Amino acid sequence: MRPTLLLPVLTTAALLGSWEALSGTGILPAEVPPVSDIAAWLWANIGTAALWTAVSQTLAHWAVALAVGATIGALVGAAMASVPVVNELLLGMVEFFRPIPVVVYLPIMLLLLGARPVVVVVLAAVAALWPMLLQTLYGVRDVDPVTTDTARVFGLTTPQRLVWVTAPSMLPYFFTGLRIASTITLLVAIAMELIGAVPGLGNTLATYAGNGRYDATYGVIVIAGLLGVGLNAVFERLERRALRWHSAYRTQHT
Amino acid sequence: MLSVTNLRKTYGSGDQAVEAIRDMTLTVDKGEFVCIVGPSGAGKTTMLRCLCGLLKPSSGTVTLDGAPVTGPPKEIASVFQDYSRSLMPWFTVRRNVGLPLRNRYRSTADRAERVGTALDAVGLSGFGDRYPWQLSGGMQQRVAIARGLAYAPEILLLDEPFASVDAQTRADLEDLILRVRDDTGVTMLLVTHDIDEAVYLADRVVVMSARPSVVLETVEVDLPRPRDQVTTKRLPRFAELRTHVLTLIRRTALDGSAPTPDHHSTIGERR
Ligand SMILES: Nc1ncnc2c1ncn2[C@@H]1O[C@H](COP(=O)(O)OP(=O)(O)O)[C@@H](O)[C@H]1O
Ligand SMILES: [Mg+2]
Repeated sequence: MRPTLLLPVLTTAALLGSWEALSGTGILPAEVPPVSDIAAWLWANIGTAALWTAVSQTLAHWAVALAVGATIGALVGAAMASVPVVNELLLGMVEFFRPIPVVVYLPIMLLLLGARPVVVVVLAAVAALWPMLLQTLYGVRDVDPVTTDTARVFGLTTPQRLVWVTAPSMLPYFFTGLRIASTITLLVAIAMELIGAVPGLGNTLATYAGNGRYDATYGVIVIAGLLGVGLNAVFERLERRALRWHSAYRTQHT
Repeated sequence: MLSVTNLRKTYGSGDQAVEAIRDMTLTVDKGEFVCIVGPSGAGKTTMLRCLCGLLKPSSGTVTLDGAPVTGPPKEIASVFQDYSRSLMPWFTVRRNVGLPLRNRYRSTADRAERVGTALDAVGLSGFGDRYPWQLSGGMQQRVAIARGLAYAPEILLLDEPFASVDAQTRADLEDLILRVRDDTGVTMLLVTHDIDEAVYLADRVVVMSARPSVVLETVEVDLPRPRDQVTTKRLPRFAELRTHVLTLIRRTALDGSAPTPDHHSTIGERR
Protein backbone atom coordinates (compact mmCIF):
# COMPACT_ATOMS: atom_id res chain seq x y z
CA MET A 1 0.00 0.00 0.00
CA ARG A 2 1.25 3.49 -0.81
CA PRO A 3 2.50 5.28 2.31
CA THR A 4 0.20 8.24 1.53
CA LEU A 5 -2.80 5.93 1.84
CA LEU A 6 -1.61 4.15 4.96
CA LEU A 7 -2.18 6.96 7.46
CA PRO A 8 -5.74 7.88 6.44
CA VAL A 9 -6.70 4.21 6.46
CA LEU A 10 -5.21 3.81 9.92
CA THR A 11 -7.06 6.80 11.36
CA THR A 12 -10.34 5.70 9.79
CA ALA A 13 -9.95 2.18 11.14
CA ALA A 14 -9.11 3.54 14.60
CA LEU A 15 -12.14 5.83 14.57
CA LEU A 16 -14.57 3.10 13.46
CA GLY A 17 -13.01 0.65 15.92
CA SER A 18 -13.46 2.95 18.91
CA TRP A 19 -17.01 3.80 17.78
CA GLU A 20 -17.85 0.09 17.69
CA ALA A 21 -16.24 -0.47 21.10
CA LEU A 22 -18.03 2.49 22.69
CA SER A 23 -21.46 1.42 21.43
CA GLY A 24 -21.05 -1.82 23.43
CA THR A 25 -20.66 0.15 26.68
CA GLY A 26 -23.90 2.11 26.55
CA ILE A 27 -22.10 5.46 26.66
CA LEU A 28 -23.37 6.44 23.20
CA PRO A 29 -27.09 7.39 22.90
CA ALA A 30 -29.52 4.98 21.23
CA GLU A 31 -29.62 7.24 18.15
CA VAL A 32 -26.02 6.23 17.39
CA PRO A 33 -26.07 2.56 16.38
CA PRO A 34 -22.95 0.34 16.35
CA VAL A 35 -20.88 0.45 13.16
CA SER A 36 -21.62 -3.23 12.63
CA ASP A 37 -25.37 -2.53 12.50
CA ILE A 38 -24.86 0.15 9.87
CA ALA A 39 -22.65 -2.19 7.84
CA ALA A 40 -25.22 -4.95 8.15
CA TRP A 41 -28.01 -2.65 6.91
CA LEU A 42 -25.88 -1.52 3.97
CA TRP A 43 -25.05 -5.13 3.12
CA ALA A 44 -28.73 -6.14 3.21
CA ASN A 45 -29.99 -3.10 1.27
CA ILE A 46 -27.28 -2.29 -1.23
CA GLY A 47 -29.03 -4.41 -3.84
CA THR A 48 -32.60 -3.26 -3.23
CA ALA A 49 -34.67 -1.33 -5.74
CA ALA A 50 -35.89 1.12 -3.08
CA LEU A 51 -32.38 2.38 -2.33
CA TRP A 52 -31.36 2.63 -5.97
CA THR A 53 -34.57 4.42 -6.89
CA ALA A 54 -33.76 7.05 -4.28
CA VAL A 55 -30.16 7.31 -5.51
CA SER A 56 -31.26 7.70 -9.11
CA GLN A 57 -33.85 10.35 -8.16
CA THR A 58 -31.20 12.36 -6.36
CA LEU A 59 -28.73 11.88 -9.20
CA ALA A 60 -31.34 13.08 -11.70
CA HIS A 61 -32.00 16.20 -9.61
CA TRP A 62 -28.27 16.78 -9.38
CA ALA A 63 -27.62 16.28 -13.09
CA VAL A 64 -30.39 18.53 -14.38
CA ALA A 65 -29.72 21.22 -11.80
CA LEU A 66 -25.98 21.21 -12.47
CA ALA A 67 -26.44 21.30 -16.25
CA VAL A 68 -28.91 24.19 -16.12
CA GLY A 69 -27.26 26.14 -13.31
CA ALA A 70 -23.70 25.75 -14.57
CA THR A 71 -24.66 26.72 -18.11
CA ILE A 72 -26.50 29.86 -17.01
CA GLY A 73 -23.72 30.73 -14.59
CA ALA A 74 -21.01 30.28 -17.22
CA LEU A 75 -22.88 32.33 -19.82
CA VAL A 76 -23.66 35.18 -17.44
CA GLY A 77 -20.10 35.12 -16.05
CA ALA A 78 -18.59 35.21 -19.54
CA ALA A 79 -20.89 38.06 -20.56
CA MET A 80 -20.01 40.04 -17.44
CA ALA A 81 -16.29 39.49 -18.02
CA SER A 82 -16.31 40.51 -21.66
CA VAL A 83 -18.95 43.28 -21.83
CA PRO A 84 -18.38 46.08 -19.29
CA VAL A 85 -22.00 47.27 -19.49
CA VAL A 86 -23.34 43.82 -18.62
CA ASN A 87 -20.95 43.74 -15.69
CA GLU A 88 -22.19 47.08 -14.37
CA LEU A 89 -25.82 46.09 -14.85
CA LEU A 90 -25.51 42.76 -13.06
CA LEU A 91 -22.77 43.17 -10.49
CA GLY A 92 -25.04 44.67 -7.81
CA MET A 93 -27.61 41.94 -8.26
CA VAL A 94 -24.99 39.22 -8.10
CA GLU A 95 -23.53 40.69 -4.92
CA PHE A 96 -27.00 40.83 -3.38
CA PHE A 97 -28.38 37.43 -4.30
CA ARG A 98 -25.24 35.33 -4.10
CA PRO A 99 -24.94 35.16 -0.28
CA ILE A 100 -28.63 34.27 0.20
CA PRO A 101 -28.93 30.56 1.08
CA VAL A 102 -31.31 28.99 -1.42
CA VAL A 103 -33.31 27.27 1.30
CA VAL A 104 -35.12 30.57 2.02
CA TYR A 105 -36.93 30.25 -1.30
CA LEU A 106 -38.18 26.75 -0.44
CA PRO A 107 -41.43 27.66 1.33
CA ILE A 108 -42.56 29.91 -1.53
CA MET A 109 -41.62 27.29 -4.09
CA LEU A 110 -43.49 24.60 -2.20
CA LEU A 111 -46.58 26.82 -2.04
CA LEU A 112 -46.36 27.62 -5.73
CA LEU A 113 -45.40 24.24 -7.13
CA GLY A 114 -45.97 21.65 -4.39
CA ALA A 115 -43.48 19.01 -3.21
CA ARG A 116 -42.31 18.13 -6.70
CA PRO A 117 -38.87 17.35 -8.18
CA VAL A 118 -38.91 20.63 -10.11
CA VAL A 119 -38.64 22.53 -6.83
CA VAL A 120 -35.47 20.64 -5.91
CA VAL A 121 -34.01 21.11 -9.37
CA VAL A 122 -34.68 24.86 -9.48
CA LEU A 123 -33.18 25.53 -6.08
CA ALA A 124 -30.15 23.29 -6.68
CA ALA A 125 -29.64 24.99 -10.04
CA VAL A 126 -29.63 28.41 -8.37
CA ALA A 127 -27.00 27.11 -5.95
CA ALA A 128 -24.90 25.74 -8.84
CA LEU A 129 -25.08 29.02 -10.72
CA TRP A 130 -22.97 31.17 -8.38
CA PRO A 131 -19.67 29.29 -8.25
CA MET A 132 -19.82 28.81 -12.00
CA LEU A 133 -20.58 32.48 -12.60
CA LEU A 134 -17.70 33.65 -10.44
CA GLN A 135 -15.15 31.19 -11.80
CA THR A 136 -16.06 32.03 -15.40
CA LEU A 137 -15.86 35.72 -14.62
CA TYR A 138 -12.36 35.33 -13.15
CA GLY A 139 -11.31 32.90 -15.87
CA VAL A 140 -12.23 35.13 -18.78
CA ARG A 141 -10.65 38.15 -17.08
CA ASP A 142 -7.47 36.19 -16.41
CA VAL A 143 -6.64 35.46 -20.06
CA ASP A 144 -3.02 36.51 -20.47
CA PRO A 145 -2.82 39.89 -22.27
CA VAL A 146 0.29 38.73 -24.13
CA THR A 147 -1.68 35.79 -25.53
CA THR A 148 -4.53 38.12 -26.49
CA ASP A 149 -2.07 40.47 -28.21
CA THR A 150 -0.58 37.53 -30.07
CA ALA A 151 -4.00 36.45 -31.30
CA ARG A 152 -4.78 39.98 -32.48
CA VAL A 153 -1.45 40.55 -34.21
CA PHE A 154 -1.90 37.33 -36.15
CA GLY A 155 -5.34 38.36 -37.25
CA LEU A 156 -7.51 35.80 -35.48
CA THR A 157 -11.19 36.68 -35.70
CA THR A 158 -13.30 37.16 -32.59
CA PRO A 159 -14.87 33.67 -32.78
CA GLN A 160 -11.44 32.14 -33.35
CA ARG A 161 -10.06 33.96 -30.34
CA LEU A 162 -12.98 32.74 -28.27
CA VAL A 163 -12.42 29.10 -29.20
CA TRP A 164 -8.62 28.95 -29.43
CA VAL A 165 -7.60 31.43 -26.76
CA THR A 166 -10.27 32.38 -24.26
CA ALA A 167 -11.88 28.96 -23.86
CA PRO A 168 -8.71 26.90 -23.30
CA SER A 169 -7.18 29.61 -21.17
CA MET A 170 -10.15 29.68 -18.80
CA LEU A 171 -10.53 25.90 -18.65
CA PRO A 172 -8.83 25.55 -15.23
CA TYR A 173 -11.32 28.02 -13.76
CA PHE A 174 -14.16 26.25 -15.52
CA PHE A 175 -13.29 22.93 -13.92
CA THR A 176 -12.85 24.46 -10.50
CA GLY A 177 -16.28 26.05 -10.86
CA LEU A 178 -17.77 22.78 -12.03
CA ARG A 179 -16.38 20.81 -9.10
CA ILE A 180 -17.57 23.35 -6.53
CA ALA A 181 -20.96 23.59 -8.25
CA SER A 182 -21.32 19.81 -8.37
CA THR A 183 -20.66 19.46 -4.65
CA ILE A 184 -23.04 22.27 -3.73
CA THR A 185 -25.73 20.99 -6.10
CA LEU A 186 -25.68 17.53 -4.54
CA LEU A 187 -25.78 19.02 -1.07
CA VAL A 188 -28.69 21.34 -1.87
CA ALA A 189 -30.60 18.64 -3.76
CA ILE A 190 -30.45 16.27 -0.79
CA ALA A 191 -31.30 19.03 1.67
CA MET A 192 -34.32 20.18 -0.35
CA GLU A 193 -35.57 16.61 -0.75
CA LEU A 194 -35.22 16.22 2.99
CA ILE A 195 -37.00 19.41 4.02
CA GLY A 196 -39.52 19.51 1.17
CA ALA A 197 -40.39 15.78 1.26
CA VAL A 198 -39.52 15.34 -2.40
CA PRO A 199 -38.62 11.74 -3.33
CA GLY A 200 -34.86 11.07 -3.29
CA LEU A 201 -32.07 10.25 -0.85
CA GLY A 202 -32.95 13.25 1.34
CA ASN A 203 -36.51 12.18 1.76
CA THR A 204 -35.48 8.58 2.40
CA LEU A 205 -33.17 9.85 5.11
CA ALA A 206 -35.96 11.88 6.73
CA THR A 207 -38.34 8.92 6.67
CA TYR A 208 -35.87 6.52 8.30
CA ALA A 209 -34.88 9.07 10.94
CA GLY A 210 -38.52 9.84 11.72
CA ASN A 211 -39.25 6.15 12.23
CA GLY A 212 -36.28 5.56 14.50
CA ARG A 213 -34.47 3.38 11.94
CA TYR A 214 -31.04 4.65 12.91
CA ASP A 215 -29.01 1.91 11.21
CA ALA A 216 -30.78 2.77 7.93
CA THR A 217 -30.36 6.53 8.53
CA TYR A 218 -26.60 6.17 8.89
CA GLY A 219 -26.54 3.76 5.94
CA VAL A 220 -28.12 6.40 3.71
CA ILE A 221 -25.66 9.00 5.00
CA VAL A 222 -22.82 6.70 3.96
CA ILE A 223 -24.38 6.31 0.50
CA ALA A 224 -24.75 10.07 0.12
CA GLY A 225 -21.13 10.54 1.17
CA LEU A 226 -19.89 7.96 -1.33
CA LEU A 227 -21.96 9.62 -4.03
CA GLY A 228 -20.29 12.96 -3.34
CA VAL A 229 -16.79 11.47 -3.30
CA GLY A 230 -17.49 9.50 -6.49
CA LEU A 231 -18.78 12.51 -8.43
CA ASN A 232 -15.82 14.59 -7.30
CA ALA A 233 -13.44 11.87 -8.45
CA VAL A 234 -15.10 11.79 -11.88
CA PHE A 235 -14.65 15.54 -12.29
CA GLU A 236 -11.05 15.40 -11.13
CA ARG A 237 -10.33 12.78 -13.77
CA LEU A 238 -11.99 14.83 -16.48
CA GLU A 239 -10.01 17.86 -15.37
CA ARG A 240 -6.73 15.97 -15.42
CA ARG A 241 -7.42 14.79 -18.96
CA ALA A 242 -8.55 18.13 -20.34
CA LEU A 243 -5.71 20.07 -18.69
CA ARG A 244 -2.79 17.84 -19.54
CA TRP A 245 -1.07 20.92 -20.96
CA HIS A 246 -1.59 22.98 -17.81
CA SER A 247 1.38 23.58 -15.54
CA ALA A 248 -0.36 21.79 -12.66
CA TYR A 249 -0.65 18.53 -14.62
CA ARG A 250 2.32 18.59 -16.97
CA THR A 251 4.54 15.58 -17.39
CA GLN A 252 7.89 16.71 -18.69
CA HIS A 253 9.55 14.55 -21.29
CA THR A 254 12.62 15.50 -23.26
CA MET B 1 7.71 51.10 -46.13
CA LEU B 2 6.72 51.59 -42.54
CA SER B 3 6.80 55.14 -41.32
CA VAL B 4 6.18 56.76 -37.99
CA THR B 5 5.70 60.49 -37.79
CA ASN B 6 5.75 62.51 -34.57
CA LEU B 7 4.42 59.60 -32.55
CA ARG B 8 3.43 60.49 -29.00
CA LYS B 9 1.92 58.16 -26.43
CA THR B 10 0.75 59.08 -22.96
CA TYR B 11 -0.81 56.46 -20.72
CA GLY B 12 -3.62 57.52 -18.43
CA SER B 13 -4.60 61.12 -17.77
CA GLY B 14 -4.42 63.83 -15.14
CA ASP B 15 -2.12 63.16 -12.19
CA GLN B 16 -1.52 59.57 -13.19
CA ALA B 17 -0.51 60.38 -16.76
CA VAL B 18 2.71 58.69 -17.88
CA GLU B 19 4.28 60.17 -20.97
CA ALA B 20 5.97 57.12 -22.46
CA ILE B 21 6.88 58.50 -25.88
CA ARG B 22 7.24 62.21 -26.51
CA ASP B 23 8.20 62.38 -30.17
CA MET B 24 9.40 59.58 -32.41
CA THR B 25 9.86 59.83 -36.15
CA LEU B 26 11.42 57.05 -38.19
CA THR B 27 11.02 55.07 -41.35
CA VAL B 28 11.86 51.49 -42.12
CA ASP B 29 12.46 50.66 -45.76
CA LYS B 30 11.63 47.40 -47.42
CA GLY B 31 14.23 44.74 -46.69
CA GLU B 32 16.01 46.83 -44.07
CA PHE B 33 17.15 45.56 -40.69
CA VAL B 34 16.52 48.32 -38.16
CA CYS B 35 17.27 48.03 -34.46
CA ILE B 36 15.76 50.37 -31.91
CA VAL B 37 17.89 50.58 -28.82
CA GLY B 38 16.95 52.32 -25.60
CA PRO B 39 17.01 51.77 -21.86
CA SER B 40 14.35 49.72 -20.04
CA GLY B 41 11.16 51.70 -19.62
CA ALA B 42 11.99 53.97 -22.55
CA GLY B 43 8.78 53.03 -24.33
CA LYS B 44 10.16 50.50 -26.79
CA THR B 45 7.31 48.03 -26.29
CA THR B 46 4.81 50.90 -26.43
CA MET B 47 6.30 51.94 -29.74
CA LEU B 48 6.05 48.44 -31.24
CA ARG B 49 2.47 48.08 -30.01
CA CYS B 50 1.60 51.29 -31.83
CA LEU B 51 3.36 50.05 -34.97
CA CYS B 52 1.47 46.76 -35.15
CA GLY B 53 -1.89 48.37 -34.51
CA LEU B 54 -2.45 47.04 -31.00
CA LEU B 55 -2.31 50.48 -29.42
CA LYS B 56 -3.62 53.82 -30.58
CA PRO B 57 -1.03 56.61 -30.40
CA SER B 58 -2.01 59.75 -28.47
CA SER B 59 -0.94 61.71 -31.51
CA GLY B 60 1.14 61.29 -34.63
CA THR B 61 0.72 58.75 -37.39
CA VAL B 62 1.84 55.29 -38.32
CA THR B 63 1.57 54.37 -41.98
CA LEU B 64 2.35 51.21 -43.89
CA ASP B 65 3.01 51.82 -47.60
CA GLY B 66 1.16 55.10 -47.25
CA ALA B 67 -1.97 53.69 -45.57
CA PRO B 68 -2.63 54.57 -41.92
CA VAL B 69 -2.38 51.64 -39.50
CA THR B 70 -5.58 51.42 -37.45
CA GLY B 71 -5.58 47.74 -36.48
CA PRO B 72 -3.16 44.82 -36.82
CA PRO B 73 -2.15 44.77 -40.53
CA LYS B 74 -1.73 41.42 -42.20
CA GLU B 75 1.69 42.46 -43.49
CA ILE B 76 3.14 42.57 -39.96
CA ALA B 77 4.02 39.71 -37.63
CA SER B 78 5.46 39.96 -34.14
CA VAL B 79 7.83 38.01 -31.95
CA PHE B 80 7.23 38.90 -28.33
CA GLN B 81 9.79 39.01 -25.57
CA ASP B 82 7.81 36.70 -23.35
CA TYR B 83 7.68 33.54 -25.47
CA SER B 84 6.19 31.43 -22.68
CA ARG B 85 3.11 33.67 -22.58
CA SER B 86 2.91 34.29 -26.29
CA LEU B 87 2.93 30.62 -27.29
CA MET B 88 -0.25 28.79 -26.38
CA PRO B 89 0.51 25.95 -23.99
CA TRP B 90 -2.65 24.07 -24.96
CA PHE B 91 -1.50 23.67 -28.57
CA THR B 92 1.41 21.69 -29.98
CA VAL B 93 4.29 23.47 -31.68
CA ARG B 94 2.77 22.65 -35.07
CA ARG B 95 -0.61 24.12 -34.16
CA ASN B 96 0.95 27.19 -32.60
CA VAL B 97 2.86 27.90 -35.79
CA GLY B 98 -0.08 27.02 -38.02
CA LEU B 99 -2.78 28.86 -36.10
CA PRO B 100 -2.45 32.24 -37.83
CA LEU B 101 -2.47 30.55 -41.23
CA ARG B 102 -6.07 29.45 -40.96
CA ASN B 103 -7.36 32.66 -42.43
CA ARG B 104 -4.72 32.80 -45.13
CA TYR B 105 -4.53 29.40 -46.73
CA ARG B 106 -7.67 27.38 -47.26
CA SER B 107 -6.01 24.07 -47.93
CA THR B 108 -4.71 22.01 -45.03
CA ALA B 109 -1.84 20.75 -47.19
CA ASP B 110 -0.69 24.29 -47.96
CA ARG B 111 -0.75 25.15 -44.31
CA ALA B 112 1.13 22.01 -43.31
CA GLU B 113 3.77 22.77 -45.91
CA ARG B 114 4.26 26.35 -44.72
CA VAL B 115 4.50 25.20 -41.11
CA GLY B 116 7.04 22.55 -42.11
CA THR B 117 9.17 25.07 -44.00
CA ALA B 118 9.09 27.53 -41.09
CA LEU B 119 10.06 24.87 -38.56
CA ASP B 120 12.89 23.76 -40.86
CA ALA B 121 14.12 27.34 -41.12
CA VAL B 122 14.53 27.57 -37.34
CA GLY B 123 15.92 24.04 -37.01
CA LEU B 124 12.94 22.49 -35.23
CA SER B 125 11.70 20.03 -37.86
CA GLY B 126 11.42 17.14 -35.43
CA PHE B 127 9.53 19.04 -32.76
CA GLY B 128 6.15 19.74 -34.32
CA ASP B 129 4.26 17.37 -32.06
CA ARG B 130 5.81 18.59 -28.82
CA TYR B 131 4.16 21.15 -26.61
CA PRO B 132 6.01 24.47 -26.18
CA TRP B 133 6.51 23.87 -22.47
CA GLN B 134 8.41 20.68 -23.25
CA LEU B 135 11.09 22.76 -24.98
CA SER B 136 13.91 24.95 -23.66
CA GLY B 137 13.56 28.74 -23.64
CA GLY B 138 15.69 29.17 -26.73
CA MET B 139 13.67 26.55 -28.61
CA GLN B 140 10.41 28.20 -27.57
CA GLN B 141 11.62 31.51 -28.93
CA ARG B 142 12.52 29.72 -32.17
CA VAL B 143 8.95 28.42 -32.33
CA ALA B 144 7.73 32.01 -31.97
CA ILE B 145 10.08 33.08 -34.77
CA ALA B 146 8.82 30.22 -36.94
CA ARG B 147 5.25 31.34 -36.28
CA GLY B 148 6.17 34.84 -37.43
CA LEU B 149 7.85 33.50 -40.57
CA ALA B 150 5.06 31.11 -41.49
CA TYR B 151 2.71 34.08 -41.52
CA ALA B 152 4.81 35.35 -44.47
CA PRO B 153 4.87 38.96 -43.29
CA GLU B 154 6.56 41.83 -45.06
CA ILE B 155 7.74 43.11 -41.71
CA LEU B 156 8.71 41.14 -38.63
CA LEU B 157 8.68 43.07 -35.36
CA LEU B 158 10.76 41.62 -32.56
CA ASP B 159 10.46 42.96 -29.02
CA GLU B 160 13.60 42.15 -27.03
CA PRO B 161 13.32 38.61 -28.39
CA PHE B 162 16.51 37.31 -26.81
CA ALA B 163 16.41 39.06 -23.45
CA SER B 164 15.42 36.00 -21.46
CA VAL B 165 17.73 33.33 -22.85
CA ASP B 166 21.34 32.54 -21.92
CA ALA B 167 24.28 34.16 -23.73
CA GLN B 168 25.16 31.25 -25.99
CA THR B 169 21.54 30.69 -27.07
CA ARG B 170 21.26 34.38 -27.63
CA ALA B 171 24.20 34.46 -30.02
CA ASP B 172 22.75 31.47 -31.88
CA LEU B 173 19.36 33.15 -32.18
CA GLU B 174 20.94 36.39 -33.41
CA ASP B 175 22.66 34.46 -36.19
CA LEU B 176 19.45 32.58 -36.92
CA ILE B 177 17.63 35.87 -37.42
CA LEU B 178 20.36 37.16 -39.73
CA ARG B 179 20.20 33.98 -41.80
CA VAL B 180 16.41 34.14 -42.00
CA ARG B 181 16.64 37.73 -43.16
CA ASP B 182 19.08 36.76 -45.91
CA ASP B 183 16.90 33.84 -46.99
CA THR B 184 13.54 35.58 -46.99
CA GLY B 185 14.32 39.26 -47.42
CA VAL B 186 11.76 40.10 -44.75
CA THR B 187 12.04 43.56 -43.21
CA MET B 188 13.16 43.35 -39.60
CA LEU B 189 12.49 45.82 -36.83
CA LEU B 190 14.09 44.62 -33.63
CA VAL B 191 13.92 46.35 -30.30
CA THR B 192 16.59 45.76 -27.68
CA HIS B 193 18.29 47.38 -24.73
CA ASP B 194 21.56 45.68 -25.68
CA ILE B 195 23.84 47.98 -27.70
CA ASP B 196 26.15 45.19 -28.92
CA GLU B 197 23.19 43.24 -30.20
CA ALA B 198 21.77 46.26 -32.01
CA VAL B 199 25.06 47.13 -33.73
CA TYR B 200 25.77 43.50 -34.59
CA LEU B 201 22.41 42.92 -36.27
CA ALA B 202 21.33 46.19 -37.82
CA ASP B 203 21.70 48.15 -41.01
CA ARG B 204 20.59 51.12 -38.96
CA VAL B 205 20.34 51.69 -35.22
CA VAL B 206 17.73 54.11 -33.93
CA VAL B 207 18.83 55.33 -30.51
CA MET B 208 16.02 56.20 -28.17
CA SER B 209 16.36 58.39 -25.08
CA ALA B 210 15.01 57.45 -21.68
CA ARG B 211 11.34 58.23 -21.00
CA PRO B 212 9.66 60.46 -22.20
CA SER B 213 11.48 59.22 -25.24
CA VAL B 214 12.65 60.91 -28.40
CA VAL B 215 14.97 59.72 -31.16
CA LEU B 216 18.49 60.75 -30.15
CA GLU B 217 20.14 59.77 -33.39
CA THR B 218 19.96 57.28 -36.18
CA VAL B 219 23.29 55.53 -36.66
CA GLU B 220 24.13 53.89 -39.99
CA VAL B 221 25.93 50.59 -39.41
CA ASP B 222 28.45 50.19 -42.21
CA LEU B 223 29.83 46.84 -41.04
CA PRO B 224 30.32 44.25 -43.79
CA ARG B 225 27.93 41.33 -44.19
CA PRO B 226 27.73 38.44 -43.63
CA ARG B 227 28.34 39.21 -39.99
CA ASP B 228 30.04 36.86 -37.58
CA GLN B 229 29.93 36.82 -33.80
CA VAL B 230 33.71 36.71 -33.52
CA THR B 231 35.16 38.51 -36.51
CA THR B 232 32.56 41.28 -36.77
CA LYS B 233 32.76 42.09 -33.10
CA ARG B 234 36.57 42.27 -33.33
CA LEU B 235 36.50 44.99 -35.99
CA PRO B 236 37.63 48.42 -34.81
CA ARG B 237 34.56 49.87 -36.55
CA PHE B 238 32.29 47.72 -34.36
CA ALA B 239 33.91 49.09 -31.22
CA GLU B 240 33.62 52.63 -32.60
CA LEU B 241 29.93 52.27 -33.34
CA ARG B 242 29.06 50.69 -30.03
CA THR B 243 31.02 53.36 -28.15
CA HIS B 244 29.21 56.04 -30.12
CA VAL B 245 25.78 54.65 -29.28
CA LEU B 246 26.74 54.10 -25.65
CA THR B 247 27.96 57.68 -25.35
CA LEU B 248 24.71 59.00 -26.83
CA ILE B 249 22.61 57.15 -24.30
CA ARG B 250 24.86 57.98 -21.35
CA ARG B 251 24.83 61.66 -22.20
CA THR B 252 21.03 62.09 -22.12
CA ALA B 253 20.88 60.10 -18.93
CA LEU B 254 23.37 62.50 -17.32
CA ASP B 255 21.80 65.63 -18.89
CA GLY B 256 18.79 65.14 -16.69
CA SER B 257 16.54 65.74 -19.68
CA ALA B 258 15.47 62.14 -19.33
CA PRO B 259 16.59 60.97 -15.94
CA THR B 260 16.93 57.23 -15.46
CA PRO B 261 19.93 56.78 -13.18
CA ASP B 262 19.06 53.15 -12.49
CA HIS B 263 18.90 52.18 -16.12
CA HIS B 264 21.80 53.70 -17.94
CA SER B 265 24.43 51.63 -16.21
CA THR B 266 23.14 48.42 -17.74
CA ILE B 267 23.21 49.75 -21.26
CA GLY B 268 25.60 47.96 -23.50
CA GLU B 269 26.44 45.31 -20.97
CA ARG B 270 25.38 41.74 -21.50
CA ARG B 271 23.53 40.24 -18.65
N1 LIG C 1 -0.58 49.97 -20.03
C1 LIG C 1 0.18 50.90 -19.43
N2 LIG C 1 -0.38 51.79 -18.59
C2 LIG C 1 0.38 52.73 -17.98
N3 LIG C 1 1.69 52.86 -18.15
C3 LIG C 1 2.31 52.02 -18.98
C4 LIG C 1 1.59 50.99 -19.66
N4 LIG C 1 2.47 50.28 -20.42
C5 LIG C 1 3.68 50.85 -20.22
N5 LIG C 1 3.59 51.89 -19.37
C6 LIG C 1 4.69 52.76 -18.95
O1 LIG C 1 5.26 53.34 -20.09
C7 LIG C 1 6.67 53.35 -20.00
C8 LIG C 1 7.28 52.64 -21.18
O2 LIG C 1 6.97 51.25 -21.09
P1 LIG C 1 7.45 50.19 -22.17
O3 LIG C 1 6.97 50.60 -23.50
O4 LIG C 1 7.03 48.84 -21.70
O5 LIG C 1 9.03 50.35 -22.08
P2 LIG C 1 10.18 49.39 -22.61
O6 LIG C 1 9.57 48.35 -23.48
O7 LIG C 1 11.13 50.29 -23.33
O8 LIG C 1 10.85 48.80 -21.42
C9 LIG C 1 7.03 52.75 -18.67
O9 LIG C 1 7.26 53.80 -17.75
C10 LIG C 1 5.80 51.97 -18.29
O10 LIG C 1 5.66 51.94 -16.90
MG1 LIG D 1 9.57 46.22 -23.30
